[in-house]
Amino acid sequence: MRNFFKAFLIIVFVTLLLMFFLDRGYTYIFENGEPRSKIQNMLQLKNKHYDVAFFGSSRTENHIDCKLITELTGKSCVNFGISGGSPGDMLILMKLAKNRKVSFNQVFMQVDYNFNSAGITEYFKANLVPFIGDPAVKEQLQKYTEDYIYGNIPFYRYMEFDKIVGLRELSASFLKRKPNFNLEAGYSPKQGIGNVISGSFPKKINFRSQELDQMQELYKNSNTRIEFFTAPFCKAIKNRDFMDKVQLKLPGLNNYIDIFDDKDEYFFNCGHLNGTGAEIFTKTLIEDLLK
Amino acid sequence: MLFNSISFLIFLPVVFILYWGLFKKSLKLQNIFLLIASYLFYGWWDYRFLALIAASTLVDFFIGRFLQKTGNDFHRKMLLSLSLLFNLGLLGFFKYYNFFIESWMDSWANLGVELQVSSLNIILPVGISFYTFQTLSYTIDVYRRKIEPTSDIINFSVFVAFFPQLVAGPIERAKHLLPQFSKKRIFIEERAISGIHLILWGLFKKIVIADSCAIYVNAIFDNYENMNSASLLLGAFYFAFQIYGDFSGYSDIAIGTGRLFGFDLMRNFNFPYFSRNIAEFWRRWHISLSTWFRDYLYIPLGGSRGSKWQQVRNVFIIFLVSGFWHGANWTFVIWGGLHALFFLPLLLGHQNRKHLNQVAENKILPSFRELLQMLFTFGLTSFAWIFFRADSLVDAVNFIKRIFTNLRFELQYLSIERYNVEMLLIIGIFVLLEWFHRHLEHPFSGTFKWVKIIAIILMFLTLGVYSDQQEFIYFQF
Repeated sequence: MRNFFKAFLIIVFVTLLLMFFLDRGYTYIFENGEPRSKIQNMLQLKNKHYDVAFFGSSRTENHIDCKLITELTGKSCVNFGISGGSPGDMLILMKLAKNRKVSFNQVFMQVDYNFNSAGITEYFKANLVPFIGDPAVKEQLQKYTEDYIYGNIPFYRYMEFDKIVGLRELSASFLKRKPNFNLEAGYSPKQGIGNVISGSFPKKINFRSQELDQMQELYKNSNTRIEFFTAPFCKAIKNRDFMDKVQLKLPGLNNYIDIFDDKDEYFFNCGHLNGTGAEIFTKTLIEDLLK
Repeated sequence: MLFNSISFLIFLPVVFILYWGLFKKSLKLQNIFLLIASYLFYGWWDYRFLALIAASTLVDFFIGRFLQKTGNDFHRKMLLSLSLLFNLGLLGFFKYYNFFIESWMDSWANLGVELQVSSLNIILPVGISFYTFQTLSYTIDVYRRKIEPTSDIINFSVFVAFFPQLVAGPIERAKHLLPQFSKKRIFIEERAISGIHLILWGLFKKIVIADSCAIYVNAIFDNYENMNSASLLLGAFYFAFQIYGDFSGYSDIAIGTGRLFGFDLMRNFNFPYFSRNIAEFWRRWHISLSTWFRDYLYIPLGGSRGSKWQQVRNVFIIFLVSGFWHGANWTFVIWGGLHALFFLPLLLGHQNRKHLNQVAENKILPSFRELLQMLFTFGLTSFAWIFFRADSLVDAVNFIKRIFTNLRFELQYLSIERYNVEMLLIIGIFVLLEWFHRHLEHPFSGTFKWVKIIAIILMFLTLGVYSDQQEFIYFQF
């Protein structure tokens, strides 16, 4: 039995040792390598001021051209929209921004069917786990997950989220490979005109969105003004009255859902404008809200 | 319980320590404990289906006892028929009922008659094809008077439900495994250490090779209409490694786990992709199933004796049944049929018993001829795997048609955030490791044993797929 246990324990020890060193190595590279996501980008920002910041999902990332805003208004602008991002993700980004002294005059948060979404997404969580050593990140993550194992078992976090922060992403960060769009401007337009343009809103609306309430609370009594907006949807979308219900919950909502009802050529699909549509929508926002 | 799960990571050491610690002194207690552990292992998936295993165990145990007591040929035949009827009936109902109903309705629909027969919402019990074949082999061997029936119901129950090989084999023979439950087990250090090495190697095959390939395979097979010829060929190539890594990985873990408890389970894979023809491939792939069919179906049918027509008929029967054993879908039947077609020229040309040794024995590299033979055999098996993997016959045919009609060979981006070149590199390393250790069970031997172990653990940690973990493919059979 002695040699057996020796062989077994050596394998266990080697595995744990490798996990420890891999964890240190991965964390160092993610902290010091090229930021590859908006979350990582935010965590590398410090003491910065933007006039305007946009938060939301792909419907912000694909629709708001910050470069155009700066050109036409002279205001500095950043687009933090993340494809698939939930209001919970955006709330954490806002809190991290505050913690890192990244300030804004105006914050625009995109609201639509995501009013019903609660919690944070796996993608967002995966992007945060390398930075769990940062007390601000740890505090936010612990609110949304009971899985404290990430911080306690070395390398477990990188195995659990191997698809997003695995060896592939690590190599890209280490080799300083930039993502395929400018992270700071944050705008990534869709190309082409969609053929099948249809979709559906939920039939029922939640009583409230804790995340949106907390966003309002976060910027209350501060120099930052938060506004909510809804980007256009195609006219064929079902249960459109869902947005009337959202409007009742958020009376100040800037609702642009129907501005392109006669412009199918502006849509990539029902929930996303193409580059042309995005440019015109950005100009509309400038005209209405940023002048 | 999956071998690649946290629950098994806890289960295995606990069972191991209790087995060799608390129950070491009593063989009876060790066997009872193994039975409880095996039922727990199976019940972790769905405890309700434990009743099926228990029923199958009881039926074959008592039929075995009655077979011993009666010398009357008619009674013996009736008892054997009862066992066949019960075990194949279970398999038929849980695995094939809906298939037969749907095929029956489809064939009438082709004649313009719409039948209204509803199918049932049946859950396929994990491992049913494996343990029913294992118990059947016991009854058939007792009937043939090749083995003595056991009088110990605990030993027989644990033989049927032994957790390392319960859900996906190797399908053991009573002659080989059953006596091991009656002998006092001695902890042999070398065997147990080789067991750990096999488990490590099996996990590597499953988590690094099979699960990584699965991501590419799913992306290609699920969107084959949008794929060019290069991607489709790669899809078949990746699936060949997915299924090999998955199933041989499972077998390695099963055999390794068996060794930790002092058991010797039969080898199930012997480097099948280094085969020089299809006959050799079938001597090296899923050995426990192919020998089962050989002993209980092929030879009783006459085997390679009799007229050429009978030999051809027997080959087709065994391959078609083997295909059908894998699943209730025509794709598996065609897969079996293709292998029969590939095998036929070898049988007719008396080449099927060629290449009984290991390829390039005592040589580092194969000859050019051997290399071509291996590539050709691998090409044939990969082609047949398309039918095995496709959801339907129509998909399989369209997949193949597209390979030959969409003649574009640039590497496509697969929308899975991964690139073909990295997967090909991992497979390349895997093939080289297998090639240079093809005379061994696993690569962890020689001067650089620990270097190889550390390298495998490193690959395991950094290249393994954990967020997209797949069940073992053969669980569905």
